[in-house]
Amino acid sequence: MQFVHVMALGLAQGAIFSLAAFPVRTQLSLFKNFDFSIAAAILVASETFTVVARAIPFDGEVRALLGSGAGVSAAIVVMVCWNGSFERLARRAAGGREPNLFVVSLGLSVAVAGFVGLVRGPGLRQSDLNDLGRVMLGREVSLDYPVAYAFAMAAVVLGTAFVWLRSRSGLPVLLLSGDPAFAREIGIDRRELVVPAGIMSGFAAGAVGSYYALSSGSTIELGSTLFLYGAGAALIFNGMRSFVWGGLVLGVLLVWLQQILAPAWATAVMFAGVVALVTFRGSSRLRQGLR
Amino acid sequence: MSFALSVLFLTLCFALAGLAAGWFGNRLGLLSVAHGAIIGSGAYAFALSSRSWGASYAGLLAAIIAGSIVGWGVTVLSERVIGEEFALASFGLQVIWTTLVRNLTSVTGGPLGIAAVGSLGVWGMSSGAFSHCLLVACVAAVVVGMRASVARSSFVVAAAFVRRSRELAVTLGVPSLWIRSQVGLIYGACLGAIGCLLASFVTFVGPDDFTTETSVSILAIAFIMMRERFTAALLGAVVIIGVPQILRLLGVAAGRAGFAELFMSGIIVMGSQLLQRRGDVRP
Repeated sequence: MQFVHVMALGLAQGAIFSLAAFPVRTQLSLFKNFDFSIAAAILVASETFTVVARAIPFDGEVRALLGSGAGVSAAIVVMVCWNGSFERLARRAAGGREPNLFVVSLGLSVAVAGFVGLVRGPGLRQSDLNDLGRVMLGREVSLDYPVAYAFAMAAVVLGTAFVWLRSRSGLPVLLLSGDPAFAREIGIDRRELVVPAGIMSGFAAGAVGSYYALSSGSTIELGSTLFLYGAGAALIFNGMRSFVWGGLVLGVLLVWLQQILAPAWATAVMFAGVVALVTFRGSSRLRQGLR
Repeated sequence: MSFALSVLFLTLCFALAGLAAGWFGNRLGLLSVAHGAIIGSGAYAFALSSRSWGASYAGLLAAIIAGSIVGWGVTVLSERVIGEEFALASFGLQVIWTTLVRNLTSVTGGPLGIAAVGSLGVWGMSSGAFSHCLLVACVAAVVVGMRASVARSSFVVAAAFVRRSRELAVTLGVPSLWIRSQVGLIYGACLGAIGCLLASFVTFVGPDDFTTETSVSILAIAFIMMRERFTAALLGAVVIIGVPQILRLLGVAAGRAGFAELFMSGIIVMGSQLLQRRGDVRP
């Protein structure tokens, strides 16, 4: 029974990491660079969730639902605005030096974190929704509310993401990810993809932020921490669609490590794993076309 | 007077850190988000040595060695990863460092940090803001002098090859790893010394003083600084350190005013990329 409980926790965590990995993969396919604005979207979603869930006077489940809706909407707005703005900047700089997406988005994410901290102050902010009890799945099987919420969110978002990746606006993103040169040759225009990609990235980032606001609360560092997990999950396996497996591997590994180590040590080991992954994949030769 | 000197000391420290970060970025074309971990290593090395043997210049040496080791460790990663992957890896290292310091309670004091760290005196003066300003000015003079002498050496040319491509450097017989190691050691030594001075001045070190936010503030100063000018680094540090101090004077709570530094840093990092011109030297 203990094993089943730990596996459920691990899979729920993995589902959330998969959600964090999806926008990293999508933005990487589109702009060929890591986009740190996902961290800003996650933070904005978690803070919006907390504010809305605290403000409205309904039952727990209704507050969770409305909070999630508000969080996801806020994250979508952030990502769509960001993608549109960056695309415009990149076009304007076509003759000069294109701004580095990673650096500009890092600046944006830090500025958003600073602004949020300035407005609401330091520390953890909770929505008091983390004690909603358990969800019954039949007579004997039940799940903690946050775990059930994670599975439900992951099912909705990942389901939508996979349907989108088979659609007219999603397939070009897959093509850009797999064979960018061919995608350019056949005339795929990035300008037409920035809005749908922004909506889908914001949808997933908003779900991640809302989950954390519901389960453990929102902190200023939440966005950047989850971005790092998302990047790790996105890089474990190659291919646009493999982010789900990467997230599940990281999630199960984290929960397993938490069983044998103190939670804080487990986090350190996980981050060490992500750094080792990024390092051993290597980029020097890859970038210069020698590998 | 003491408050103004304290702000001046912090500004000089951050300007120097920005100079080191900019030098590192310009030599190897890398963007690191682990400056905080390197400064923190120096600060903790000084705090631990002062706890065992009292505050002395041996502690400064220990801080320089600790900073060099961590700086070297961060830099040699670039043998395998460059560009954004290096930035991502350095960000991960910064998070790991903070987690380790928070959890190694028996050595680092955990989240509570190490209090009552000894303070360095200078030329028989009592330790205070003025003597620390003198100390940081001495370190700045050494760093600027070293930078000027290195700028005329073949080392810069070799580093330019390494920056362009590891394979190009190896083909031309330039030892890539050795050049990266030297850059990492110098950059780490400089940040380690700054960490020591900060710990000696504040007489306290804690994990929250050397986080990703510290790294981003230093990065922002490095971005402001065009072509490694110390005056520009100083200007950047004035903006980043000065704004929270002004907010505190205006009555904003210290906990919130600290985020103004983060906000300003983010805007500067973003703006530096958006306002760049072709040919600008950028870390």
